[in-house]
Amino acid sequence: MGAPRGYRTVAIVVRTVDFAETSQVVHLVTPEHGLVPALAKGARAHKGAFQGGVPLGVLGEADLLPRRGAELELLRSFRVTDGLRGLRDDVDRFAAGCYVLALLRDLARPALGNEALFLAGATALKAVASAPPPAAGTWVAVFEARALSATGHRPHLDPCPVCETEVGRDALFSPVAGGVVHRRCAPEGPVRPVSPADREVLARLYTARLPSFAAEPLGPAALRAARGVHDLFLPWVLEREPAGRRALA
Amino acid sequence: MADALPKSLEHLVERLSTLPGVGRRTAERLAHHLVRAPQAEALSIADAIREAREKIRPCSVCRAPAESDPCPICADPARDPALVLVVETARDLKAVEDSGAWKGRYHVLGGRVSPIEGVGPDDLALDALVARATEGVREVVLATNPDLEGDGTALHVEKALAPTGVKVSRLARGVPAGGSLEYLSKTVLAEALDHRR
Ligand SMILES: [Zn+2]
Ligand SMILES: [Zn+2]
Repeated sequence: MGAPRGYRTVAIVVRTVDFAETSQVVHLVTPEHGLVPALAKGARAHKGAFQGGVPLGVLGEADLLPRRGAELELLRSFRVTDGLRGLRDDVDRFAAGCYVLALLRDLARPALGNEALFLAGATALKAVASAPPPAAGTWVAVFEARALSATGHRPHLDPCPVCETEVGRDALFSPVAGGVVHRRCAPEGPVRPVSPADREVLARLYTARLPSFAAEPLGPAALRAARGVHDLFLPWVLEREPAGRRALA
Repeated sequence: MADALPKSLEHLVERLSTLPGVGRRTAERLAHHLVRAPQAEALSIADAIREAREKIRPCSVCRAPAESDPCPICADPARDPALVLVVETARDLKAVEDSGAWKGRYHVLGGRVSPIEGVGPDDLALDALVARATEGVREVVLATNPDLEGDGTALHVEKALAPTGVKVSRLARGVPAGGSLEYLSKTVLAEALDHRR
Protein backbone atom coordinates (compact mmCIF):
# COMPACT_ATOMS: atom_id res chain seq x y z
CA MET A 1 0.00 0.00 0.00
CA GLY A 2 1.35 3.42 -0.94
CA ALA A 3 1.41 6.53 1.20
CA PRO A 4 -1.98 8.25 1.63
CA ARG A 5 -2.67 10.69 -1.21
CA GLY A 6 -3.48 14.32 -0.66
CA TYR A 7 -6.52 15.89 -2.26
CA ARG A 8 -8.15 19.24 -2.85
CA THR A 9 -11.80 19.87 -2.14
CA VAL A 10 -14.36 22.59 -1.65
CA ALA A 11 -15.39 22.75 2.01
CA ILE A 12 -17.57 24.49 4.57
CA VAL A 13 -15.86 25.21 7.91
CA VAL A 14 -18.33 24.03 10.58
CA ARG A 15 -16.07 24.11 13.62
CA THR A 16 -12.71 25.50 14.71
CA VAL A 17 -10.94 24.87 18.00
CA ASP A 18 -7.62 26.44 18.94
CA PHE A 19 -4.97 23.82 19.57
CA ALA A 20 -1.58 24.20 21.24
CA GLU A 21 0.24 27.52 20.70
CA THR A 22 -0.74 28.43 17.16
CA SER A 23 -2.58 25.47 15.62
CA GLN A 24 -6.25 24.73 15.07
CA VAL A 25 -8.41 21.63 14.83
CA VAL A 26 -11.03 22.29 12.18
CA HIS A 27 -14.08 20.33 11.05
CA LEU A 28 -14.90 20.62 7.38
CA VAL A 29 -17.98 19.43 5.52
CA THR A 30 -17.05 18.36 1.99
CA PRO A 31 -19.09 16.92 -0.90
CA GLU A 32 -17.05 13.74 -1.46
CA HIS A 33 -15.41 13.02 1.89
CA GLY A 34 -18.21 14.00 4.24
CA LEU A 35 -17.15 15.42 7.60
CA VAL A 36 -13.36 15.83 7.74
CA PRO A 37 -11.64 16.61 11.06
CA ALA A 38 -8.24 18.11 10.31
CA LEU A 39 -5.25 19.67 12.00
CA ALA A 40 -4.11 23.05 10.67
CA LYS A 41 -0.57 23.38 11.99
CA GLY A 42 0.53 26.91 12.80
CA ALA A 43 -2.73 28.24 11.40
CA ARG A 44 -2.93 31.16 13.82
CA ALA A 45 0.63 32.32 13.33
CA HIS A 46 1.10 35.64 11.51
CA LYS A 47 2.70 34.04 8.49
CA GLY A 48 2.19 30.85 6.54
CA ALA A 49 -0.49 29.16 4.48
CA PHE A 50 -3.42 30.34 6.61
CA GLN A 51 -2.95 34.06 7.24
CA GLY A 52 -4.22 34.24 10.80
CA GLY A 53 -6.38 31.15 11.03
CA VAL A 54 -9.12 29.15 9.34
CA PRO A 55 -12.35 31.07 9.99
CA LEU A 56 -15.56 29.41 11.10
CA GLY A 57 -18.55 29.69 8.79
CA VAL A 58 -16.92 30.26 5.43
CA LEU A 59 -16.79 28.41 2.12
CA GLY A 60 -13.36 27.62 0.81
CA GLU A 61 -10.92 25.34 -0.90
CA ALA A 62 -8.99 22.93 1.28
CA ASP A 63 -5.83 20.99 0.56
CA LEU A 64 -5.90 17.88 2.74
CA LEU A 65 -3.59 15.00 3.49
CA PRO A 66 -4.94 11.93 5.32
CA ARG A 67 -2.44 10.50 7.81
CA ARG A 68 -2.37 6.76 8.33
CA GLY A 69 -3.63 5.73 11.75
CA ALA A 70 -4.41 9.32 12.73
CA GLU A 71 -7.88 10.57 13.41
CA LEU A 72 -7.09 14.06 12.12
CA GLU A 73 -6.14 14.67 8.53
CA LEU A 74 -3.56 17.35 7.85
CA LEU A 75 -4.94 20.60 6.44
CA ARG A 76 -2.07 21.89 4.32
CA SER A 77 -3.76 25.05 3.12
CA PHE A 78 -7.14 26.72 3.06
CA ARG A 79 -8.35 29.50 0.78
CA VAL A 80 -11.61 31.32 1.56
CA THR A 81 -13.79 31.54 -1.56
CA ASP A 82 -16.86 33.06 0.13
CA GLY A 83 -16.51 34.71 3.55
CA LEU A 84 -20.34 34.86 3.92
CA ARG A 85 -19.95 38.31 5.50
CA GLY A 86 -23.70 38.80 5.55
CA LEU A 87 -23.96 36.30 8.42
CA ARG A 88 -22.01 38.79 10.52
CA ASP A 89 -24.05 41.95 10.10
CA ASP A 90 -27.47 41.02 11.45
CA VAL A 91 -28.58 39.11 14.55
CA ASP A 92 -31.16 36.96 12.72
CA ARG A 93 -28.82 36.08 9.88
CA PHE A 94 -26.13 35.23 12.43
CA ALA A 95 -28.48 32.89 14.32
CA ALA A 96 -29.70 31.26 11.10
CA GLY A 97 -26.18 30.84 9.71
CA CYS A 98 -24.86 29.30 12.93
CA TYR A 99 -27.80 26.91 13.05
CA VAL A 100 -27.21 25.77 9.46
CA LEU A 101 -23.54 25.16 10.31
CA ALA A 102 -24.47 23.18 13.42
CA LEU A 103 -27.02 21.02 11.62
CA LEU A 104 -24.57 20.38 8.80
CA ARG A 105 -21.99 19.25 11.33
CA ASP A 106 -24.52 16.97 13.02
CA LEU A 107 -25.81 15.36 9.80
CA ALA A 108 -22.51 14.94 7.91
CA ARG A 109 -20.71 11.65 8.50
CA PRO A 110 -16.93 11.11 8.52
CA ALA A 111 -15.61 9.56 5.30
CA LEU A 112 -19.09 9.40 3.80
CA GLY A 113 -19.51 11.73 0.83
CA ASN A 114 -22.90 13.40 0.50
CA GLU A 115 -22.98 15.88 -2.33
CA ALA A 116 -26.66 16.78 -1.84
CA LEU A 117 -26.08 17.64 1.83
CA PHE A 118 -23.05 19.78 1.01
CA LEU A 119 -24.96 21.59 -1.71
CA ALA A 120 -27.96 22.17 0.56
CA GLY A 121 -25.62 23.68 3.18
CA ALA A 122 -23.65 25.86 0.78
CA THR A 123 -26.83 27.15 -0.89
CA ALA A 124 -28.54 27.89 2.41
CA LEU A 125 -25.53 29.75 3.84
CA LYS A 126 -25.21 31.90 0.71
CA ALA A 127 -28.95 32.60 0.71
CA VAL A 128 -29.06 33.51 4.41
CA ALA A 129 -25.98 35.75 4.03
CA SER A 130 -27.42 37.69 1.09
CA ALA A 131 -31.21 37.63 1.48
CA PRO A 132 -33.03 40.27 3.54
CA PRO A 133 -32.91 39.18 7.23
CA PRO A 134 -36.67 38.36 7.42
CA ALA A 135 -36.15 35.70 4.71
CA ALA A 136 -33.63 33.83 6.90
CA GLY A 137 -36.43 31.71 8.41
CA THR A 138 -37.50 30.48 4.98
CA TRP A 139 -33.97 29.46 4.03
CA VAL A 140 -33.52 27.65 7.33
CA ALA A 141 -36.73 25.64 6.77
CA VAL A 142 -35.74 24.89 3.17
CA PHE A 143 -32.30 23.78 4.35
CA GLU A 144 -33.80 21.49 7.00
CA ALA A 145 -36.01 19.86 4.35
CA ARG A 146 -33.16 19.42 1.86
CA ALA A 147 -30.73 18.20 4.53
CA LEU A 148 -33.24 15.68 5.90
CA SER A 149 -33.93 14.45 2.36
CA ALA A 150 -30.22 14.22 1.56
CA THR A 151 -29.62 12.01 4.61
CA GLY A 152 -32.49 9.60 3.91
CA HIS A 153 -35.12 11.16 6.18
CA ARG A 154 -37.45 12.66 3.62
CA PRO A 155 -40.90 12.33 5.25
CA HIS A 156 -43.83 10.52 3.62
CA LEU A 157 -46.54 13.08 2.99
CA ASP A 158 -49.19 11.01 1.15
CA PRO A 159 -50.30 8.23 1.11
CA CYS A 160 -50.11 7.12 4.74
CA PRO A 161 -46.93 4.99 5.08
CA VAL A 162 -48.69 2.59 7.49
CA CYS A 163 -51.81 1.57 5.52
CA GLU A 164 -50.83 3.01 2.13
CA THR A 165 -54.16 4.72 1.55
CA GLU A 166 -54.74 8.41 1.00
CA VAL A 167 -54.41 10.58 4.13
CA GLY A 168 -57.66 12.39 4.96
CA ARG A 169 -58.27 15.53 7.00
CA ASP A 170 -57.54 14.00 10.40
CA ALA A 171 -53.79 13.53 10.04
CA LEU A 172 -50.81 13.46 12.39
CA PHE A 173 -47.10 13.89 11.80
CA SER A 174 -45.30 10.94 13.34
CA PRO A 175 -41.48 10.83 13.33
CA VAL A 176 -41.64 7.12 14.18
CA ALA A 177 -43.74 6.39 11.06
CA GLY A 178 -41.52 8.76 9.08
CA GLY A 179 -44.22 11.16 7.97
CA VAL A 180 -47.90 12.04 7.85
CA VAL A 181 -50.26 9.25 8.94
CA HIS A 182 -53.97 8.71 9.72
CA ARG A 183 -54.73 9.33 13.37
CA ARG A 184 -55.75 5.63 13.64
CA CYS A 185 -52.48 4.49 12.07
CA ALA A 186 -50.12 6.53 14.24
CA PRO A 187 -47.58 4.32 16.02
CA GLU A 188 -46.65 5.04 19.62
CA GLY A 189 -44.37 7.99 20.17
CA PRO A 190 -44.51 11.76 19.71
CA VAL A 191 -47.06 13.10 17.20
CA ARG A 192 -48.35 16.47 16.09
CA PRO A 193 -51.62 17.27 14.28
CA VAL A 194 -51.12 18.57 10.73
CA SER A 195 -53.93 20.46 9.02
CA PRO A 196 -54.45 20.27 5.25
CA ALA A 197 -52.80 23.72 5.08
CA ASP A 198 -49.78 22.45 7.05
CA ARG A 199 -49.48 19.55 4.63
CA GLU A 200 -49.47 21.94 1.68
CA VAL A 201 -46.60 23.81 3.32
CA LEU A 202 -44.68 20.55 3.80
CA ALA A 203 -45.35 19.49 0.21
CA ARG A 204 -44.00 22.83 -1.03
CA LEU A 205 -41.01 22.71 1.31
CA TYR A 206 -40.01 19.20 0.20
CA THR A 207 -40.74 19.45 -3.53
CA ALA A 208 -40.65 23.06 -4.79
CA ARG A 209 -37.59 24.36 -6.61
CA LEU A 210 -35.28 26.82 -4.86
CA PRO A 211 -36.00 29.92 -6.98
CA SER A 212 -39.65 29.73 -5.94
CA PHE A 213 -38.63 30.39 -2.32
CA ALA A 214 -36.62 33.45 -3.33
CA ALA A 215 -39.60 34.76 -5.29
CA GLU A 216 -42.07 33.93 -2.55
CA PRO A 217 -40.70 33.31 0.98
CA LEU A 218 -42.83 31.37 3.46
CA GLY A 219 -45.38 33.50 5.32
CA PRO A 220 -45.61 33.54 9.12
CA ALA A 221 -48.23 30.74 9.27
CA ALA A 222 -46.27 28.54 6.87
CA LEU A 223 -43.08 29.15 8.86
CA ARG A 224 -44.87 28.15 12.07
CA ALA A 225 -46.11 24.94 10.45
CA ALA A 226 -42.68 24.03 9.12
CA ARG A 227 -41.05 24.90 12.43
CA GLY A 228 -43.60 22.81 14.37
CA VAL A 229 -43.04 19.68 12.31
CA HIS A 230 -39.25 20.02 12.29
CA ASP A 231 -39.29 20.73 16.06
CA LEU A 232 -40.64 17.22 16.43
CA PHE A 233 -38.74 15.54 13.62
CA LEU A 234 -35.17 16.81 14.00
CA PRO A 235 -34.58 15.78 17.64
CA TRP A 236 -35.94 12.35 16.70
CA VAL A 237 -33.54 12.01 13.75
CA LEU A 238 -30.53 13.38 15.65
CA GLU A 239 -31.50 11.76 18.97
CA ARG A 240 -30.90 15.12 20.67
CA GLU A 241 -31.88 18.77 20.48
CA PRO A 242 -30.21 20.35 17.42
CA ALA A 243 -27.57 22.89 18.50
CA GLY A 244 -28.41 26.51 17.78
CA ARG A 245 -32.12 25.90 17.06
CA ARG A 246 -33.20 27.64 20.26
CA ALA A 247 -31.48 30.85 19.13
CA LEU A 248 -33.49 31.16 15.89
CA ALA A 249 -35.78 34.16 15.52
CA MET B 1 -1.92 -3.89 24.93
CA ALA B 2 0.81 -2.30 27.06
CA ASP B 3 0.45 -2.05 30.82
CA ALA B 4 -1.93 0.69 31.92
CA LEU B 5 -0.38 3.60 33.83
CA PRO B 6 -0.37 3.42 37.64
CA LYS B 7 -3.71 4.64 38.90
CA SER B 8 -2.56 7.98 40.32
CA LEU B 9 -0.51 8.79 37.23
CA GLU B 10 -3.45 7.94 35.01
CA HIS B 11 -5.59 10.26 37.11
CA LEU B 12 -3.06 13.08 36.62
CA VAL B 13 -3.03 12.48 32.85
CA GLU B 14 -6.78 12.52 32.77
CA ARG B 15 -6.93 15.82 34.74
CA LEU B 16 -4.26 17.49 32.60
CA SER B 17 -6.01 16.50 29.38
CA THR B 18 -9.05 18.53 30.42
CA LEU B 19 -6.94 21.69 29.86
CA PRO B 20 -7.58 23.57 26.61
CA GLY B 21 -5.26 22.57 23.78
CA VAL B 22 -3.85 19.60 25.71
CA GLY B 23 -4.41 16.24 24.08
CA ARG B 24 -3.84 12.83 25.61
CA ARG B 25 -0.26 12.59 24.38
CA THR B 26 0.76 16.02 25.69
CA ALA B 27 -0.94 15.24 29.00
CA GLU B 28 1.10 12.05 29.33
CA ARG B 29 4.33 13.92 28.59
CA LEU B 30 3.51 16.57 31.22
CA ALA B 31 2.46 13.98 33.80
CA HIS B 32 5.65 11.96 33.37
CA HIS B 33 7.67 15.15 33.68
CA LEU B 34 5.83 16.12 36.88
CA VAL B 35 6.48 12.80 38.59
CA ARG B 36 10.14 12.79 37.55
CA ALA B 37 10.88 16.41 38.49
CA PRO B 38 12.12 17.27 42.03
CA GLN B 39 9.21 17.05 44.44
CA ALA B 40 9.38 20.71 45.52
CA GLU B 41 9.33 21.91 41.92
CA ALA B 42 6.31 19.79 41.01
CA LEU B 43 4.38 20.69 44.13
CA SER B 44 5.06 24.41 43.62
CA ILE B 45 2.86 24.13 40.53
CA ALA B 46 0.05 22.69 42.63
CA ASP B 47 0.57 25.52 45.14
CA ALA B 48 0.50 28.14 42.39
CA ILE B 49 -2.79 26.76 41.08
CA ARG B 50 -4.27 26.82 44.57
CA GLU B 51 -3.02 30.34 45.30
CA ALA B 52 -4.30 31.74 42.02
CA ARG B 53 -7.67 30.10 42.51
CA GLU B 54 -7.99 31.48 46.01
CA LYS B 55 -6.82 35.04 45.28
CA ILE B 56 -8.23 35.74 41.83
CA ARG B 57 -11.84 36.91 41.60
CA PRO B 58 -13.70 38.69 38.83
CA CYS B 59 -13.72 42.47 39.38
CA SER B 60 -17.26 43.43 40.36
CA VAL B 61 -17.18 46.33 37.90
CA CYS B 62 -15.50 45.00 34.75
CA ARG B 63 -15.39 41.21 35.39
CA ALA B 64 -11.64 41.05 34.74
CA PRO B 65 -9.86 38.54 36.97
CA ALA B 66 -7.98 40.41 39.71
CA GLU B 67 -6.64 40.10 43.25
CA SER B 68 -8.38 43.27 44.38
CA ASP B 69 -11.94 44.46 43.91
CA PRO B 70 -12.31 46.78 42.07
CA CYS B 71 -9.37 45.74 39.91
CA PRO B 72 -6.36 48.09 39.54
CA ILE B 73 -7.66 49.47 36.22
CA CYS B 74 -11.15 50.22 37.57
CA ALA B 75 -9.54 51.79 40.66
CA ASP B 76 -7.17 53.98 38.62
CA PRO B 77 -8.48 57.59 38.55
CA ALA B 78 -6.33 58.28 35.48
CA ARG B 79 -8.37 55.83 33.39
CA ASP B 80 -11.46 57.50 31.90
CA PRO B 81 -14.52 55.76 33.38
CA ALA B 82 -16.73 57.15 30.58
CA LEU B 83 -14.96 55.02 27.95
CA VAL B 84 -15.51 51.28 28.13
CA LEU B 85 -13.83 48.76 25.81
CA VAL B 86 -15.62 45.41 25.57
CA VAL B 87 -13.51 42.29 25.09
CA GLU B 88 -14.37 38.59 25.02
CA THR B 89 -11.72 37.37 27.45
CA ALA B 90 -9.10 38.56 29.90
CA ARG B 91 -6.46 37.47 27.37
CA ASP B 92 -7.87 39.95 24.86
CA LEU B 93 -7.81 42.61 27.59
CA LYS B 94 -4.14 41.91 28.13
CA ALA B 95 -3.43 42.20 24.39
CA VAL B 96 -5.08 45.64 24.26
CA GLU B 97 -3.44 46.72 27.53
CA ASP B 98 -0.02 45.67 26.20
CA SER B 99 -0.53 47.90 23.18
CA GLY B 100 -0.74 50.86 25.57
CA ALA B 101 -3.24 52.52 23.23
CA TRP B 102 -6.35 52.46 25.45
CA LYS B 103 -6.83 55.05 28.18
CA GLY B 104 -10.37 54.09 29.16
CA ARG B 105 -11.63 51.09 31.09
CA TYR B 106 -12.76 47.59 30.12
CA HIS B 107 -15.60 45.14 30.29
CA VAL B 108 -14.84 41.42 30.01
CA LEU B 109 -17.74 39.36 28.61
CA GLY B 110 -16.21 36.08 29.71
CA GLY B 111 -16.81 34.37 26.39
CA ARG B 112 -18.62 34.77 23.09
CA VAL B 113 -22.05 34.03 21.72
CA SER B 114 -21.74 30.63 20.05
CA PRO B 115 -25.08 29.12 19.05
CA ILE B 116 -23.15 26.17 17.58
CA GLU B 117 -21.70 25.32 20.99
CA GLY B 118 -24.91 26.20 22.82
CA VAL B 119 -23.66 29.51 24.27
CA GLY B 120 -26.26 32.29 24.10
CA PRO B 121 -26.12 36.00 25.01
CA ASP B 122 -27.66 35.14 28.39
CA ASP B 123 -24.49 33.23 29.28
CA LEU B 124 -22.34 36.39 29.03
CA ALA B 125 -21.97 39.27 31.50
CA LEU B 126 -24.26 41.53 29.45
CA ASP B 127 -26.57 42.74 32.23
CA ALA B 128 -23.60 44.11 34.14
CA LEU B 129 -22.47 45.99 31.02
CA VAL B 130 -25.93 47.43 30.37
CA ALA B 131 -26.11 48.58 33.99
CA ARG B 132 -22.71 50.28 33.67
CA ALA B 133 -23.72 51.94 30.40
CA THR B 134 -26.50 53.82 32.17
CA GLU B 135 -24.10 55.21 34.77
CA GLY B 136 -22.05 57.97 33.17
CA VAL B 137 -20.56 56.01 30.27
CA ARG B 138 -20.08 58.11 27.12
CA GLU B 139 -18.91 55.47 24.66
CA VAL B 140 -18.71 51.70 24.52
CA VAL B 141 -16.13 50.31 22.08
CA LEU B 142 -16.68 46.73 20.93
CA ALA B 143 -13.40 44.87 20.53
CA THR B 144 -14.67 41.35 19.99
CA ASN B 145 -12.61 39.22 17.63
CA PRO B 146 -13.12 39.81 13.90
CA ASP B 147 -14.66 36.45 13.05
CA LEU B 148 -18.18 35.00 12.75
CA GLU B 149 -18.82 34.47 16.46
CA GLY B 150 -16.94 37.60 17.51
CA ASP B 151 -19.02 39.76 15.17
CA GLY B 152 -22.16 37.88 16.21
CA THR B 153 -21.30 38.62 19.84
CA ALA B 154 -20.86 42.31 18.98
CA LEU B 155 -24.33 42.30 17.35
CA HIS B 156 -25.85 40.94 20.54
CA VAL B 157 -23.99 43.46 22.72
CA GLU B 158 -25.17 46.30 20.46
CA LYS B 159 -28.73 45.02 20.68
CA ALA B 160 -28.55 44.83 24.48
CA LEU B 161 -27.10 48.36 24.71
CA ALA B 162 -29.56 49.96 22.25
CA PRO B 163 -32.16 50.92 24.90
CA THR B 164 -29.51 52.79 26.94
CA GLY B 165 -28.82 55.19 24.05
CA VAL B 166 -25.06 55.05 24.75
CA LYS B 167 -22.73 55.57 21.78
CA VAL B 168 -21.40 52.23 20.51
CA SER B 169 -18.43 51.91 18.16
CA ARG B 170 -16.42 49.04 16.69
CA LEU B 171 -12.71 48.54 16.08
CA ALA B 172 -11.66 49.56 12.59
CA ARG B 173 -11.00 46.72 10.20
CA GLY B 174 -7.24 46.77 9.98
CA VAL B 175 -7.72 43.43 11.61
CA PRO B 176 -7.53 40.44 9.23
CA ALA B 177 -10.64 38.24 9.11
CA GLY B 178 -10.26 35.14 11.24
CA GLY B 179 -7.31 36.66 13.11
CA SER B 180 -7.61 37.13 16.85
CA LEU B 181 -6.75 40.15 18.99
CA GLU B 182 -4.23 38.16 20.95
CA TYR B 183 -2.07 37.66 17.90
CA LEU B 184 -2.23 41.16 16.48
CA SER B 185 0.80 43.39 16.56
CA LYS B 186 0.62 46.35 18.92
CA THR B 187 0.70 48.83 16.05
CA VAL B 188 -2.23 47.23 14.21
CA LEU B 189 -4.23 47.11 17.43
CA ALA B 190 -3.47 50.76 18.27
CA GLU B 191 -4.51 51.81 14.76
CA ALA B 192 -7.74 49.80 14.91
CA LEU B 193 -8.53 51.58 18.18
CA ASP B 194 -7.75 55.03 16.78
CA HIS B 195 -9.94 54.47 13.74
CA ARG B 196 -12.89 52.92 15.54
CA ARG B 197 -16.28 53.64 13.97
ZN1 LIG C 1 -53.02 4.97 7.51
ZN1 LIG D 1 -12.33 46.14 36.95
